[in-house]
Amino acid sequence: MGNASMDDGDITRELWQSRLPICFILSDDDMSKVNRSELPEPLYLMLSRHLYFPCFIEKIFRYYSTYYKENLADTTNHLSIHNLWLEYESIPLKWHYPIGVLYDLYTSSLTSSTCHLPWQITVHLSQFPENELIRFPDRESIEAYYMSTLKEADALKHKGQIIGDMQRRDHKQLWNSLLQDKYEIFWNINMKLMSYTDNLLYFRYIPYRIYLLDRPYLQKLFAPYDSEHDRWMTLNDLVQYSLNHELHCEQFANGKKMLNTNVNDYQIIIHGVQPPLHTPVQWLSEYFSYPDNFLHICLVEKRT
Amino acid sequence: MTLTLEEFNQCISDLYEQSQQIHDRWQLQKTSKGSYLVYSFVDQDHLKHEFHIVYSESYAVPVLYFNVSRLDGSLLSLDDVWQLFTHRKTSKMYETITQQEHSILHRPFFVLHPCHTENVLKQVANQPIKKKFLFWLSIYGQSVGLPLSVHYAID
Repeated sequence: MGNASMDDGDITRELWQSRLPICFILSDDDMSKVNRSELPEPLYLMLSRHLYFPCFIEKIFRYYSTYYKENLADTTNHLSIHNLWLEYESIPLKWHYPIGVLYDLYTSSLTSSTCHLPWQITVHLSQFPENELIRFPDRESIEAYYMSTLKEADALKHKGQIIGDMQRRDHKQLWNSLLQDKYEIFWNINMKLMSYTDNLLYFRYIPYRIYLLDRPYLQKLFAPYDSEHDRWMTLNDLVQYSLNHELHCEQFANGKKMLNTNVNDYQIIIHGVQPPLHTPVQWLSEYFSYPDNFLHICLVEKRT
Repeated sequence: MTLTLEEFNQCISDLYEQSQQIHDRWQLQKTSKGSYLVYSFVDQDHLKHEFHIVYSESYAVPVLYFNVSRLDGSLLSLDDVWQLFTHRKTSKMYETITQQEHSILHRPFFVLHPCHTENVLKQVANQPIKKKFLFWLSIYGQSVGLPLSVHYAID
């Protein structure tokens, strides 16, 4: 893709700085167990789009636990930090996806109002839906999840050669700088993961996931450059390919709503913006990926 | 060393056939998203162990997913699972067994990280595909209590 221009660097910095205002409210069920005369006010936090909700479990729990002082010791209530989970419009939030991905996917589709800020999320302190949500009992487990995603991205891009050659301290540095909001330090190392290997001028495959409502995410092997036709693959190509493949699979399953494979019927959202469909995916992978090096793409059906 | 999807499908199909012959428990699941093997049993503490062998396109190797649940259906926690399979908790555990979204069923399963699989398979690089697959299964499976009859190694 050539050398990074000033503009491209500005883009990664802008994306790094994107935040979302979130309003956490306690579930009705848990509200009824509060033993103080004053009920908890909503908790307002400004969170990075590219971080994960589990990073804030402690903060959220600490806030609400003051209202449950006596109840916390009562184990029959099952009120515990380990049972904290988040929900939006009755949907348990898959919090191993970055915050921005969840926002783009759910707020663009579900409710009819045009403005969804602050984003209102319900906090539950009991009945953790363990068949749907991954548990993050501590900080290290979130770091482990992030690292495993990053490794998968490098396996796709470089057969794992670059991340494999990195020192353990570089891995730690990536995660810590992400948590501590240190853009320069992060990109100092992340830059290596954006380089090319094997005499190619592009990645072997593009790490991406496409999210649609009511469906598991789509992920396939997709090369950014078609050497046979000397053509750079675009965002349109990537989405079309993924939708076609999904429809093909679906035809062998019964009773499912038929997938609409017309790319133009969707808003294609990454980091809250809609990049032009003719954008080369190689470029998007280098500049529009999340810190886990994956392109997380939300497809939201346009309202007719 | 890696496996193609075709090689993987052949391996799990063969293992399933053999399992049927020796009256073992392996089940072969075929879905629109791919095929995978399932093995489950209940141990003496009434814990149900369930193992899935799924193909990873990203790594081009097989991946071992598993869950351990109690009689009431509740899942064991990460700590409980580590206790079950290792002697002590080390920081390395985070790089070995963690919870992830099952790539076909899309619900939480514990997984043995596949990033080292290619290295492990280098030891059997010149062996036939089937031997490579069994070698992988015996190493990864053994570390998480998956019983593997010696009969599978006999052609």
